[in-house]
Amino acid sequence: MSQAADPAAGPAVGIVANPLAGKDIRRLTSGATPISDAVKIGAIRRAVVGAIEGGAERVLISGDRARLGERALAGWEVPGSVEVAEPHGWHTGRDSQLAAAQFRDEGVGAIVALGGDGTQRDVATGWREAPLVPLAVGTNNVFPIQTEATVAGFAAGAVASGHADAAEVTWQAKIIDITTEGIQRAEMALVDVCLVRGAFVGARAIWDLGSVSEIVAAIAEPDSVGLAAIAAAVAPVGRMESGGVHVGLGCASANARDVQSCRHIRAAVMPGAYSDIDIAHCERLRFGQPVTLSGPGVLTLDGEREIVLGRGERADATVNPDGPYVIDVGAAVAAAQQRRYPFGSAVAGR
Amino acid sequence: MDPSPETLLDLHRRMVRIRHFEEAAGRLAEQNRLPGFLHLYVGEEAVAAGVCANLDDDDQISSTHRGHGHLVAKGGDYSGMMAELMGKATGYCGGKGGSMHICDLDLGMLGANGIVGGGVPIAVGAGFANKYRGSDRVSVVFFGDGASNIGAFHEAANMAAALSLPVLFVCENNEYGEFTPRDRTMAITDVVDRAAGYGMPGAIVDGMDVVAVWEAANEAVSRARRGEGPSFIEAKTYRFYNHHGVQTLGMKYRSDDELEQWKQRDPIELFEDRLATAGVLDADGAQAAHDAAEADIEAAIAFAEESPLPDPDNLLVDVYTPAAYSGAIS
Repeated sequence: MSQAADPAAGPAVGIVANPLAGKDIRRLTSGATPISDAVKIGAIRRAVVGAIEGGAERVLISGDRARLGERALAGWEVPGSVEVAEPHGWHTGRDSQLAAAQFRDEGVGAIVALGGDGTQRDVATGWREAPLVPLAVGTNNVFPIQTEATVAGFAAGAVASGHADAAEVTWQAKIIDITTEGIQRAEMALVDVCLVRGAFVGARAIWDLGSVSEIVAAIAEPDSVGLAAIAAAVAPVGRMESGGVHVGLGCASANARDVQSCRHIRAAVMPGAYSDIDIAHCERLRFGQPVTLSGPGVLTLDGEREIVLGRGERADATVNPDGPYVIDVGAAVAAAQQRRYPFGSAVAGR
Repeated sequence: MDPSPETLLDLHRRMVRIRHFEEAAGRLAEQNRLPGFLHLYVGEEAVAAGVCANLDDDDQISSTHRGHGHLVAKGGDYSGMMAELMGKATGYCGGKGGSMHICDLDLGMLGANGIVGGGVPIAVGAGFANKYRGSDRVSVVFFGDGASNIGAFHEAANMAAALSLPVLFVCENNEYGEFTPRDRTMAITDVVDRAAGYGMPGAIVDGMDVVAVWEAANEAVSRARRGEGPSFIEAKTYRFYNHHGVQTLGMKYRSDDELEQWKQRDPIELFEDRLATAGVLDADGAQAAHDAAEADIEAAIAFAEESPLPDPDNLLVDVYTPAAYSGAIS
């Protein structure tokens, strides 16, 4: 693959597919849907078709150990210039982060990211303001959308090629930045950051809600599933609304500032599971207003245990307005179709 | 969600005991003090330890040609194991089985198995018996990525799911079937993709993270005990030594870089770092566990070397059941 951005190479769409999405322990704990490689390979292929149809002249697919891209292209007369990037070899979400950064550097105009909330977070970590179609192909899908990969690819192709005006068909997502003294690399979340008791990341996903003590959510919509659903039950915040929400759990804990304000709720804490939750306190957050989360404990980013905080270690979680530019698939397709196929454009004699 | 401090120390001890047994066996083989083939489990310790720490003595496991780690994790006796590896009469199988056939029915270890995939129907059979008898025992089968291509695996997986048997399938995906990379023999990357085809839930875990394995096995074993049927765990792992023995045979079927990258994630070193951070076990405590294992293995080696070879008069003992041997069945 070429290493430098080359505008002359024409509009490009990047496809990031996470081989690990949809395969974690939540299939054992709550019957979450298993997402096989075959599902991802089919989605990549359909997104390629859509991207080229939408106006992309090049499609770049993230490389990975599972060779999803190569397998999507195998035995297929690809309808355009499609390349699979060299894998980065981490065999973790970091591969998706590096792929997104690489696509930015190579002049890609829009990304289609196939995965759940974790995969979308990885893309945003690699390319914060990526023009993005977040396509739900994972376990828990608060941030990504459910749509057909073909039109998801088309929308990305339309934005990358200018057939749809990015300013008109995208909206900027929020992001939760994590800053700690010990962590050099940028860490962030798109939906929620939580502090859970414990000292190990283990199988990463969380399913024992008794261990959660605090939640900072940028998106807490009533139909969310996951930790955001807990915040949504007491203080909903839409994805396009300003700010976020901070919730403390456990009325018997130090979080209980005022017993009178304690609330008992039930919420869909992961696909296939509702839990009883005691809400000790809840406050709205402005953009830029940090919440300090104190160890010992583990920080979850969009539902996955990622960062271990030792005793005395602290992290600030701050909801900010400058995340990825999410492409509205319907609006992008409509804009491109109207621009490309105006009235009177029928080919005579056909 | 974390295991208790006692469980964390138990996981560490199990892994350390596997590592020291295997390193010692490797050294002995290099010195030609062990006969026969030797398939070492070094690098994969987190899988056996994380799974077996969820099992009771009367739960069963079936194992593979790379089976020492499974038995050590299940509580196997170093001396009986080492004597068996040396072909001595005091060994687990009277010195006649060797590395690939060790079993200990008292610990529910139904046997290592020289036949790739051969252990799968054995564990499923045990699962059938456990359910038929109404016990709450769980059986676990350890097998490799290559074994998942064998017919016996597919028949047994189908039966376990169809009859909703209390069986846990643990695929140790170390990326190579003997000397052949997985992608040369399979069109899928994740063996767990097959689980859905049989109608059982499956998950991938980091096989170098013993807590991750423990958590997944804890869920899967609980499911089985509750009567919810079989589960499938695919542990992504890697063997640090060759397919058999310690040295490579000069076949560059995997790169030094790849090996080094995996060694950076040595499951014992990773865990010791995290135990120290968590304040559960400091460096001195970890070293004490290593020293204890090393002392035990030295004693086991001395026991095995001093033990006699099997008596030639017993050549046919254990070959047939006693009844058949005496001619009672005719």
